[in-house]
Amino acid sequence: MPDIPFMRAHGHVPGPTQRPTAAGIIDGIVAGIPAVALLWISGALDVMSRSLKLPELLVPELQLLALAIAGAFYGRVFGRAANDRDGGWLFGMSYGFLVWMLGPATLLQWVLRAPLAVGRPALMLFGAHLIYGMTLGFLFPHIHTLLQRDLE
Amino acid sequence: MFATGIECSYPTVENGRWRLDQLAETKHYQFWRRDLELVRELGLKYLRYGPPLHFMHLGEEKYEWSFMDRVADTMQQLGIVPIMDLCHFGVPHWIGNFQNADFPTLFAQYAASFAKRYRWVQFYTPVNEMYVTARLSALEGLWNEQLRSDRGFVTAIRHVAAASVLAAEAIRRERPDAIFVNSESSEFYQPCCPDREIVRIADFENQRRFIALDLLYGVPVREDVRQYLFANGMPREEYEWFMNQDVKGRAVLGVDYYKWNEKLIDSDGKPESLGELFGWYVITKQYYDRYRRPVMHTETNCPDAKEAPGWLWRQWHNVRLIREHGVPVVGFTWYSLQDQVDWDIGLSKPLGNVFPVGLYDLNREPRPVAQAYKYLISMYRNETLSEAENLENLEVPGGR
Repeated sequence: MPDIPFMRAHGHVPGPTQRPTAAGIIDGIVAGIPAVALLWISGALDVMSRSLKLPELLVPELQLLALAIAGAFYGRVFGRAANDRDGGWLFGMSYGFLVWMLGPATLLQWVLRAPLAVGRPALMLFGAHLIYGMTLGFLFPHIHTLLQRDLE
Repeated sequence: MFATGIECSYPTVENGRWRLDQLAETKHYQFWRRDLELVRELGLKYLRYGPPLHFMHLGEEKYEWSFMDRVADTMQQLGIVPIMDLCHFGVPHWIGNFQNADFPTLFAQYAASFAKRYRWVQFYTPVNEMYVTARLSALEGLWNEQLRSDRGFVTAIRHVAAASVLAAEAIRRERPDAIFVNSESSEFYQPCCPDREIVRIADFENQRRFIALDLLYGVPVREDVRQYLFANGMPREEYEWFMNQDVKGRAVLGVDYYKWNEKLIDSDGKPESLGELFGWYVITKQYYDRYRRPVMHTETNCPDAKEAPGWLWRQWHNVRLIREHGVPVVGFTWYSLQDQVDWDIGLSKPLGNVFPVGLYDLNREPRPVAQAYKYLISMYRNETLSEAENLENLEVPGGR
């Protein structure tokens, strides 16, 4: 991992009691549930399944898998910054925006050669990522605390 | 004595516009109880602790003790032995700065009141890193009075040294068995080349680093340095006063060391950080040979979390070796307990940069060095002189 000052300050070297990757995976799945629920309720999931040409029942599972991987990355890369109980929700929401920008807005558009969704479903997709990020950031320190090892 | 410290600097910058209060920046005011618990969880008993002078000393004979009362009670409950650091790079707004000639007397009054209120406290650092305080405030123009002059520097160093002497005497009146840990930044200047002017600058800086401790311990400075002091405003009778004080008894020479403490005088005559050239052993030996006091390694850290455990062990092996060679080292400190803020830029601006040197980060999660230090402490806990009681009977070969 690049040894840039920001990362060094916020600590990509986990402490001896920390399990940031495991915490990130669990947190990613938990935070993905309200995001996927919003997509389902709003009908955006249906639009996505048509764009991806995948069965509608498979899309939520793939979405949760992607968000779990994103969560693992969040925990591993931003370890100590992610642990901030006061500002974690805001940091996480910024991360949710980044995931939306890199995933649905850029990567999938490039692969599909067309937008994944347009109009209201696109707005719901964007909102789902912000909710994912905010929940991820808010819950991360709490989930991480539950997974702590002893200093011994 | 294995120790750590709560980083507590509080200088002002931008002509008093900002006070960089590390206790606030590191959220110690919020997490002070947890911080004290963490000290004990690491297996530590000794803690360098700096009460916030700027909040506590409100005016002449006016003090605010409420925060410190709660901290002190908890320290006693937890069995923590504090080394009380009464002045750490700043003064209250109403005193102004280190150019104020009333500072030594006012500070001694505060020290006396502090010692009277907390009679159970035995260890004190009256003024932390006097040389750095004077240099950064009055020679390099960074903190407090922000002067850049030799006269300003000499004035500041006279005042901090006098404050240290008077505070020690005041504390001793309240607590005759008080022990003073006079922490000072160990510095060394190496000339880059044989150019006579560069060699002269390095030589002068290598003398100037001793001025504060020389005045405190009554060790005569070199003749050219004495003339430098007189030429920059120190009255001769004041110099004689310093030389006739006796605060050496029950005083420990605290030697702080970071890898940026050794400096190269470059071809322009400017000091540049050199990294670790000779190391703590060599620099400390220079200080020990001059003062012949028991020594404590009172500060070290490393801003890289991966390298920090290695740096910890390197410092500890320096301590072990110098002790084998006869220097009575009575303590070792990883400084600080928690990460610091803006020390990567020498507290020159209020930017909020996290400086990841703590045993714990600002969320109070341990860094790898915390685990390494806990292991080190458990391994060497029965080391001779690891307890303060041994200081009572300590004899220093050739001690003055």
